[in-house]
Amino acid sequence: MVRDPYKYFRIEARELLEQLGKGLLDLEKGAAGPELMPQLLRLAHTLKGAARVVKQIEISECAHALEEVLTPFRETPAALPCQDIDEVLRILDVIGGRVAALALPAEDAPAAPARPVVEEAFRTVRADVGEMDALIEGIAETHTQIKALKRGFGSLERARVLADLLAQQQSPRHHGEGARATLAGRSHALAEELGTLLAGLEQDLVASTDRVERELHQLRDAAEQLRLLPVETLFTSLERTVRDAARTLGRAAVFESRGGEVRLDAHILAVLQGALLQLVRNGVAHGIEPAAERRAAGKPEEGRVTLGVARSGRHIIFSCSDDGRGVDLEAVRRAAQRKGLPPAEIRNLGASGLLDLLLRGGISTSDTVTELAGRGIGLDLAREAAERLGGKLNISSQAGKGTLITLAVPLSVASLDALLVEAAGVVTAIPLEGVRHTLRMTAADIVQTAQGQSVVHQDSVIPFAPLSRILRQDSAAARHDRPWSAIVVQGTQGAAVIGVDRLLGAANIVFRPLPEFSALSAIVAGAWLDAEGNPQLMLEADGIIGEANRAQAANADAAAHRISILVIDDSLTTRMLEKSILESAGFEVGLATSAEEGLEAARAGRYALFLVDVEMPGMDGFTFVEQVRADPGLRDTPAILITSRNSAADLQRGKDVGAQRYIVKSEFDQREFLEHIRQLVA
Amino acid sequence: MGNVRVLVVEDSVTVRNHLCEILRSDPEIEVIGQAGDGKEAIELCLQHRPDVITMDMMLPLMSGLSATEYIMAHCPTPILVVSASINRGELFKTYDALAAGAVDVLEKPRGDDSDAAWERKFLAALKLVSRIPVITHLRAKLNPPARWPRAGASLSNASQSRCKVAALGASTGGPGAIVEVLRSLTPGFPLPLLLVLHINEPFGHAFADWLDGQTVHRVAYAQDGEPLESAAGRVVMAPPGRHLMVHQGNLRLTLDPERHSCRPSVDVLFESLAREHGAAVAACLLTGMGRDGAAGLLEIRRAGGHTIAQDEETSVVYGMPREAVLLGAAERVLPLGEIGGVLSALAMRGGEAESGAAANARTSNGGAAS
Repeated sequence: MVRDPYKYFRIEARELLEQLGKGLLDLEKGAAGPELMPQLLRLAHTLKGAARVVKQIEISECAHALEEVLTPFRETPAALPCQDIDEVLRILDVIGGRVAALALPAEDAPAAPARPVVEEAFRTVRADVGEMDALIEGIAETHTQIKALKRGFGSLERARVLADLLAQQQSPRHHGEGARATLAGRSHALAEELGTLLAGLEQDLVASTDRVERELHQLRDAAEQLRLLPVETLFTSLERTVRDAARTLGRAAVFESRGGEVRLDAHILAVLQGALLQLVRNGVAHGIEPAAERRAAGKPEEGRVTLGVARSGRHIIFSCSDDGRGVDLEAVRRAAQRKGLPPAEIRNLGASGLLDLLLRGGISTSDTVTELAGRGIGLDLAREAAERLGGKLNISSQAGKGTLITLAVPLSVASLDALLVEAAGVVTAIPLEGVRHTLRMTAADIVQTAQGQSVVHQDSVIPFAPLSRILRQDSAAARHDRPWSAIVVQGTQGAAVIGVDRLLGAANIVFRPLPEFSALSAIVAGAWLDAEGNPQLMLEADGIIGEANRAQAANADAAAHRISILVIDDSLTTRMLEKSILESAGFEVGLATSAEEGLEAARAGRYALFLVDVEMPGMDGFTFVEQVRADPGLRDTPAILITSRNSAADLQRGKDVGAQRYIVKSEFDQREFLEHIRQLVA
Repeated sequence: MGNVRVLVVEDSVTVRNHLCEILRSDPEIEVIGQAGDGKEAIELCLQHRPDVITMDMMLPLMSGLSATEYIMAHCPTPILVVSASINRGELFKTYDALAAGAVDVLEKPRGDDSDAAWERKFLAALKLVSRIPVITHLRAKLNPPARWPRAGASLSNASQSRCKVAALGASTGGPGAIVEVLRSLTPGFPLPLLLVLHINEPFGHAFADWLDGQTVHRVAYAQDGEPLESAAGRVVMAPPGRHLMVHQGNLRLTLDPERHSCRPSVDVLFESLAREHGAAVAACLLTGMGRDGAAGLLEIRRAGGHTIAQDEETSVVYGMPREAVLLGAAERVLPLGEIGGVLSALAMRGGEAESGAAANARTSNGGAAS
């Protein structure tokens, strides 16, 4: 193992360069307080001293040059001329290059090419001492708890001794004459003592283990936090990029940022840096107009490129926006033509199609290739980064107003609280942040709407789908007559109610994303290991909701050739009741308010079954069935008579006229009712 | 034997680790703490009570100077300033720190061939500094400076000769002591006051400018060939790397060999004064390590001049004054607070005849700085 003589210096130099760069940009923006210049001088000075200690004379000389440039302006930072800022930034770049070159281990320095600064910069995490202390305290605390557990060992030993004693007493050689009674008494006392001891021990062990578990849990959370870096680590280089791009192109642009405190995996940051640099550079190069043009358009002369970072579920959303001219769709068309896309296809593309074309790469709207943009590689890099991280890239644009590009990437390793559920024998986890409610519901709670199966929850109609169907574990005719455990899942695009067999409880799980090839990937966020070490699936709220909507739509399709039933009843209440029962069971329902009207409807439509009230003004139900049986077009259609008449004579009359079932209202049972219907229409 | 327990105060993690590595290479030294800013330095100092502190000057949150002032006032600890700050403003702060009680100052390693020697120097300096007992520095401020005695008041048995020139020599602990002497020196002090101070390079070059701002007395580096009389009423100091001497009525700066590894050397100045002005000299040897100036002071006394050595009680390092006392070179052994008064009295007695000599003194702002 070669000792790395620059270990500390590399870290420190990067931090110092970062702070110097940021400070300088603040200075340029005029955002500097009186303390900034002395601070910059101190940083340069520190860098100089540190470089000397590791014998990097060139770096120390560069740092000294920084001091030389800045010192005359110690008291008057505002007077620092532009070209001096350029000069200082240039020196910082030179130092940065030299520090990057140091990254090479001494022995293969001449051969290997310089490793990119990027990777290196994210290899070191600076931990807050307070956070570290909390971690160490936590570890100490677990130790204490384990000591408590160890105290249980003594009790265990006593229990073993007692058990031995008991065993001895039970052995045959002790069972001498006349000793049985006393022996039984003694054994009983021993057994009782053993029982008490074990009970106490159990209680202690359970409590201690719980505490240790909790403590370890918190520790892991804290440790995982430690390895994350705040996104603002990237901001200075982004701001610098905007500045340099604006300078080169003769534009005025400022960089703004939000959400720098969001922390994420260093690996993600490293992959994203290049992409984000391209995005903000694109914002300037393609977006921000020359000052005169902006003035003419009534915009402030200084353009804005904004990067916002926010956590949304298990994604980090980077949104890069500018207030420039927006994407020139005509230019995209021309570029697509140059690329050789069929003109007809191009003509058919709408705005979003054209923007998608941009995302797909190889197309640049800039008519001239410049150093900064126009090679069509900007979005390529962003797209590539998004793909590498399993994320999504999105673009929207408004002519004259600006462009917004969002990059959503998943957190690579994350632990989160999830609800564990079981459906069709499969255990899966749903992120708790996506779970709005859990419900108990019966099949009757599921209503059939135009869109398919839904559940009314808190006054809104939410699509419903059994998880088994979503997971494609649904056996074709699996019917659910027993009550459901249901979960209201809330995502970014609405909600869905998911039926499961069992709720197993909440747990904190560590999951890892899966590569994007499984058919389930839209709903699967990753995999996690259960207590036995078996991999299980972790679902994603948005994916579940999307799938539920699809399942529902499929259901609605089925409704297109669904079975129709004609309900004939003069009572509005009965009509509506029957209609709702039938519809929620998946039937189409036609209504008639009299037997005459019913006959007309029966002849006009195609019904699989007639549901007929017996007592109606005018033609009664018996007559209706008689008429139907006499009609050659309708004679095979089954009919059910519904009546309040419960006499054997009425029942017989119903049979005689040709009704298949005779249901007495007072004995009405919804399940039985639907059962009859299903049998008749099957 | 007890190890030297060191607190390292340095904001650069690279430099800090480097210093600690050097310190750990020495079995007699133990690094008991590291601080990255002035506030942390104070906390760790109060908590661990180190034997010695290496103190950087430019620090975030609280400067090395403020930390030094606080530490010297609340938990006096020997401090070795280790700084790379050699621009004027930062040098002034370094002198302030020395005046506030920091024992010595050392440059940071330069990153060149001198580094190996630097490491030895650093370890030696640190051990030396760690052994110096320091006192709460407020004490000096609580003791009101002695009033200027009226001419002749307490000098009845002093030699009768008139003084024409005064001289001061100092080393470790010197900056604070010199300021103290100048503060208690009467405004309008009429004689040329020649000064030699040992201070590690490259920290010397702005000291005269700094000292000039500390009291009403004007201070400047000597110019080679300048007549001694033209320095009347001013403090004239040997510049870094040059001996200061008086020859044929003129000030001379020379590159003669070092004496006691020192250039400027107090002995060189004092001996030249003894030769040139004999009994008309009033010289004082202040705090400092080693023995430079003791022999020269003896020469002056032998020539009939007035000689003073700072006493043990008030000396940061009772080295040079002790040598002088042992040689019998000191006519008077005085606490720091009285030296300025006695020099003033000697000068007044000598200067009455040439009252115009005070013309150059900065008397406009009246009384003493304290």
